[in-house]
Amino acid sequence: MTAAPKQTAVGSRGVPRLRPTAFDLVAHYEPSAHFKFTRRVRNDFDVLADEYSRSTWLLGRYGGRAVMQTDIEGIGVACRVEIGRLVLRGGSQFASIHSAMQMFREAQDRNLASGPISRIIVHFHKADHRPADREIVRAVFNDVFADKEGDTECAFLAEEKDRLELGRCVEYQTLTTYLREDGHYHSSHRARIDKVQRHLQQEVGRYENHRFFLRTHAPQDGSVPVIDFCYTGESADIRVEAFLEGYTNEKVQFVPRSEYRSETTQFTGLADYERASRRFGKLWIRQADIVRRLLPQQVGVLYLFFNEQMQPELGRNFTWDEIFERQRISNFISRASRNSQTYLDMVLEGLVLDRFIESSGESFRLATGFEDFQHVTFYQLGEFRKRQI
Amino acid sequence: MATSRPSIWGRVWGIILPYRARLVVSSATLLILTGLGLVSPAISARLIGRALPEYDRDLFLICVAALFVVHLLSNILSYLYSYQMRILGGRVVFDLRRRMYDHLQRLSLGFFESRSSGEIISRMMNDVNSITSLVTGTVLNALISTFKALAILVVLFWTSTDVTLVALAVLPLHFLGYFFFRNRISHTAWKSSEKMSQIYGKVSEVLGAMKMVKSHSGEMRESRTLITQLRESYDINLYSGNLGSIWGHTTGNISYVGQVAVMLVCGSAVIDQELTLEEYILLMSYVAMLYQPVAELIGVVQQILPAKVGIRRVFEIMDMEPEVVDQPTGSRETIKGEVVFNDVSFAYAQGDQVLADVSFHAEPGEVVAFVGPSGSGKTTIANLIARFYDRSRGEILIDGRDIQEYTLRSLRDQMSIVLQETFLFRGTILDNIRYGKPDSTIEEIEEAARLANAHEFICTMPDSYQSLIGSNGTRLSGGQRQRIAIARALIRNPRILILDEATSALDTVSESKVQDALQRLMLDRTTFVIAHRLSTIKNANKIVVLKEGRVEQVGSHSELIDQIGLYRELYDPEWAKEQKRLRDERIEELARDAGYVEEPEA
Repeated sequence: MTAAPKQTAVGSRGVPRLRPTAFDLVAHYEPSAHFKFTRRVRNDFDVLADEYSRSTWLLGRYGGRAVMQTDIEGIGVACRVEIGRLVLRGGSQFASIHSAMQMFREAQDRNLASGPISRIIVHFHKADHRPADREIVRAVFNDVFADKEGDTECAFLAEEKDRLELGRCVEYQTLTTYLREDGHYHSSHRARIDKVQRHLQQEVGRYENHRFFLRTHAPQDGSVPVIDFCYTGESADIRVEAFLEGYTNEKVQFVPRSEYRSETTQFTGLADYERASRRFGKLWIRQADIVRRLLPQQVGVLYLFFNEQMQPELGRNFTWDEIFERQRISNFISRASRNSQTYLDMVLEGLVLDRFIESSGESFRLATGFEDFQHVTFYQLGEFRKRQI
Repeated sequence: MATSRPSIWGRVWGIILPYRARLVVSSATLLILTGLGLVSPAISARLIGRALPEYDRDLFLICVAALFVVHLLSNILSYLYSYQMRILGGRVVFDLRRRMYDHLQRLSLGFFESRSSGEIISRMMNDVNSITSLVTGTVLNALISTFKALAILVVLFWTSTDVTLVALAVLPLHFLGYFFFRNRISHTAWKSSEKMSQIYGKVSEVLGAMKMVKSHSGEMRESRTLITQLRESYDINLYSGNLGSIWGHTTGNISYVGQVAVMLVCGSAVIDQELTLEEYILLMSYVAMLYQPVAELIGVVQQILPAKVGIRRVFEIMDMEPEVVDQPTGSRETIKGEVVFNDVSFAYAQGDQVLADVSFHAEPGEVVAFVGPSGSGKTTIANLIARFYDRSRGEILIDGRDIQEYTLRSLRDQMSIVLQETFLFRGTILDNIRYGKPDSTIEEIEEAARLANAHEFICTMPDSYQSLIGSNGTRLSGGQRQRIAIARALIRNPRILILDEATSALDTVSESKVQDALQRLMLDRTTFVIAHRLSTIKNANKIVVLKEGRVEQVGSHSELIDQIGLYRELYDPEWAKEQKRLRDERIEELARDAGYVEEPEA
């Protein structure tokens, strides 16, 4: 564990104040049906743990020596490695956390774990309130796990205030755009995309040397955006185009690889478009570097802070009564709950807790920076590696 | 229009209100108990401060006797008070659970499909209990503690203003403690309730699917999953308990600081002979008693905060309204069974569209079959006919009238549904068949069983119709369960019958018996059949072929089998394979025409 003085806490003589911070870092590895915690694995892991051991004078999960645990997952066994770090001096935080993450990586590279790292979790006190400390963790993560081109920045999924899950995000649009559905992603295309995706999955062999994606054109004056199905590969393949059109009625355009690589922002993967255009289920929303879940009922209540032109009423304070009046006539709230005051109370409370809304007494307003909140998909480290584009 | 927003406590009061007489009696009992509590220190002070130092035997005996009487009275009244509270709490919980259960019965199917049964049970059992603790102890204790504190304050002010002010000096610290712990305890209580709901949900799900779990050797996996959730729940409860304990101890310490301050002031006064020993004892006793209600109030707050979370979770359910409701002038007419869908579209809340512009017409007594790949919307149509959901767009007519013009009760009373997964209640076969028509006679039940091909096997059972069949008919085979379900549907003599994959889980022998029963069941009723095994729907008057929520083809079997289309693909896999080959060839040809050159094989 590392005890790091908080970056912002500076004493009167300019010396960082001692605010020891205990970090608990946990790496979960993918399960394997063949993995056994054998004597060899145990011994080799002990050697590795000794190598990266840093005393923390603490016990349990905050102990500075790595501990490997196993969990049964499905038919396989998955490893979990826990290590603590205590940072006492400003400046040593990076090195200290870096060594812990490096150890996770080495356990994977030396085949001491059940598989590749699937996810990493970090616990420290009031983690979701301490951007400076998160920045260090982020830098370490980016440094240790920058595996390939296209890896996005580290993002933190906040499940609890003291517990963050590290992963990567794919960004789609602002939350406001999602709510208005006036961006590149539109649910009216979902059926077409679904049809193409299903066909591609059924005929994997036929299309194995090609990659399919979409080119989106911004909508004009609130109309539905236009999408073109595209593919890339060694060269254009008329057969691919003919089969896809024959089975899905979609024309596909060939995009040379060089163009695809140089103008990636123009293109969206089919899976990404499908996820971004969903109008059901929970959403992942990134607020600066923190990602939070937005539940369907919370999405419905956010619409109550929008005006009739579907513009978010930023900065406007709403009384509870005003919001309730809007709820009663809103099509975005399920009919069963429209007249429920308890429902509104509970959802508002959750939104305030997750900082989508600010409250003072009985008045509520959209949180500062709401217009910058991003609709994303959060991927755990292992999921991001395997995600379909 | 401004809406009056009833506070949560106002609503709780509304629940307790019918028992106000009992509440008044309990409050009066508690007041007397409080009064008796105030008398004891005065008697003790008289005993120690006067009777003993002055060697007054008579006074001593009177004080001892008075203490005994006070103690005895206190015990009797305590018993009466707790007896009243038990009755009050029990009745409030009874009422609330009954109301909640009634309310749950009225909610639409969508509600139950969006929540796990365990979560609902958790709210009905655990969260309702939190109201009991609130009613039985917390509310009255809060009132009495406040009253007690005020009474003691009056006595203290009357005895010594200076000492009272010293004693009150520490009170702001208690408020600080309250503001520090309030949100933390509330949030932890909310997390604890949510976690408990998840655990209930998980347990109820796994117990309901035990056969599947065992068949997939999932016992250990399920144990692990539950252990993880239990561990999380344990952590939350431990943290919550620690918070409460820290707050309690902090309160005690703050109170003790106050007592020490008073002790210093009063002790100095005694030494300076400004205060007698009797007054000293009396003041110290009252100061100690002043802090006791404060500690009690904080204890009450510690109970109220989690209880508030539970109450809100209960009210959240109670506030929900059914999405499918009767119109005020709903018709109860008997229907003939003509069903018309005109451009009907449907989407589940915040979901993708499931049906788009579906139209078909079923004459009374006709058999209409729905076929199509999984997810094509067959069961959704059945759900709309039974009005488990209301369509999003379009028109559904029954005998020429909009389906929403009939009352739900009248519509469903004239309709029966037989599903692939039959559900039988724990009880006798008789009870299960009678569930379709509670006022049916034994003769009617036997007749229904005969028509359903079930009478024969029922008679071979030891207790015939009175045989117990276990939970969900576990002592019966799949075919037997299905035939009882058909008998249950038959006894209602429905005008509209929906068979949703009613035979797809059966073996050939059972299926032929069930099919016989179904043929009898379908006579003279409008029947909608959903089947994957297309051989079972060949005789349907009309077959509606669905794909991705749209109607692809409509016609009889003989018409559709001659057409190139989805029905024939589904009915004849070999033909479908051949069609695909031909299609591939055509596309290859088109590609060659467009300039595609096949690479020579290496």
